[in-house]
Amino acid sequence: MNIKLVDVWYKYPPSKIALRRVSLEITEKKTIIVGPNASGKTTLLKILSLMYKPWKGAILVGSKSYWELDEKEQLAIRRRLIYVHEKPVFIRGTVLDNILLGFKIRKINLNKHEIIDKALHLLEIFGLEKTANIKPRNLSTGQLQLISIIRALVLEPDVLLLDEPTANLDIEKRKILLRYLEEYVKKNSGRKIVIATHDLLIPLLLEDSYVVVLNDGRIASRGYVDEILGYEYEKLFNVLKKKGT
Amino acid sequence: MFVDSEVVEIIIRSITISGTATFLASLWSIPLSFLLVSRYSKITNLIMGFFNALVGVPTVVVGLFLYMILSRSGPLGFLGMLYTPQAIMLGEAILITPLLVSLLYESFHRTREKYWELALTLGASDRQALKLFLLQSLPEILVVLLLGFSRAIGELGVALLVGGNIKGYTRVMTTAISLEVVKGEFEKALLLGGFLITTVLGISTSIRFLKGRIE
Repeated sequence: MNIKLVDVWYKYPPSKIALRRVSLEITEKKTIIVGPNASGKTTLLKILSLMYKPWKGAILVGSKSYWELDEKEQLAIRRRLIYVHEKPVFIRGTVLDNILLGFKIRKINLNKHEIIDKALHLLEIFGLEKTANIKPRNLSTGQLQLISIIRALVLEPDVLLLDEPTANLDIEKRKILLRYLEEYVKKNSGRKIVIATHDLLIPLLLEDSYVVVLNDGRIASRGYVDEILGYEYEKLFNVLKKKGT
Repeated sequence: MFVDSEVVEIIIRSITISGTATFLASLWSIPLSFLLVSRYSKITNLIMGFFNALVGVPTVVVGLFLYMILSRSGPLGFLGMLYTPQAIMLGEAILITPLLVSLLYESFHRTREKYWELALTLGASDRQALKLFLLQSLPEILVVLLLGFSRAIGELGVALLVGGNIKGYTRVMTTAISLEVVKGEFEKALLLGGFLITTVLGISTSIRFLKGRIE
């Protein structure tokens, strides 16, 4: 599944422009969007996840302009990608209820035991197997972040878009998550992940990742991590350092 | 001091009338609040400003306004609704609408984006997203409706002006209390006042319990 942004602008009402003339095609398996706070990372991710309609410009999915498709076609495309929010939201019920929510919404008639086993297996990988029957409000922010990622992973999307996925994780959990994401994209040739982060170590820890540097709503630089490790990346490091992030 | 059948009848009538009024008001307040939250524009602020200003409107003014509309020479006089329980229901529903819209708008404003986004990211259609949003907002909706009910059951102006305090027909707790005070029957007035407070507290407690169970 190829997503292409053509000259995209995004404006929050009444007049705050968050993205300016962004053209980007998600062709790589691992794309990392980096940039300081308020640079437009989350907005770009929400546009890529097809939740936000651009103010100007087009979004092409394959050869079709997504926002010109009918509702049914849009839904079919939207179900192939999942966006995971930086501050995850949970419904009432247990962790397991939350992980299975996507199946319930999509009315997927898979074997219930099979789905539960899959969910429990993922919880086990992230060391959260004991939380399955606990209510999310009793868990830590880091655990909730992982659970929201598991909720997306269990649906096996073609494109997984993660907003600051490591923001509340310790080093060990971050390692487990990144390792799992590497495996996830390797398992199936059609799978891609897009991560928005200000954690500059992520592009270095994920092999062959393609980095997009955003600044003030514009793409300041892009390329494979070793290509942009020079000037632009260093400049970004300095900006983040000054901002204390 | 004893509870006679008339008092019981008044309590049941009060709960029925105010309950129906709250239900009626919810029929337009919930969709309207949702629409205002989801189609945000500059006009939304104006509309909300209008509703916020009307929250504290004196009940007697609403009663007077409705009396003029429903009286025989008024535009809706042909309906013959004046001095009927239906007139009180309509009046109370109108009275609590600004309160419901203001509180529901605030509540939906806080929760819409997060649940709507959650549903969409997990592959929901707009209809499924709406269903998830409403289900998750149910405890807040219940609390707002309870506040609306409390305002409706405790008001006097509308019930007196468009209900007429007719014995066995439109007499509710507040109008009965007012009448007993005028008659100098303070004991009965206090008894009814006690029931009014108990009713409101009882319903409030049970809805809060229900809300806790749902959460």
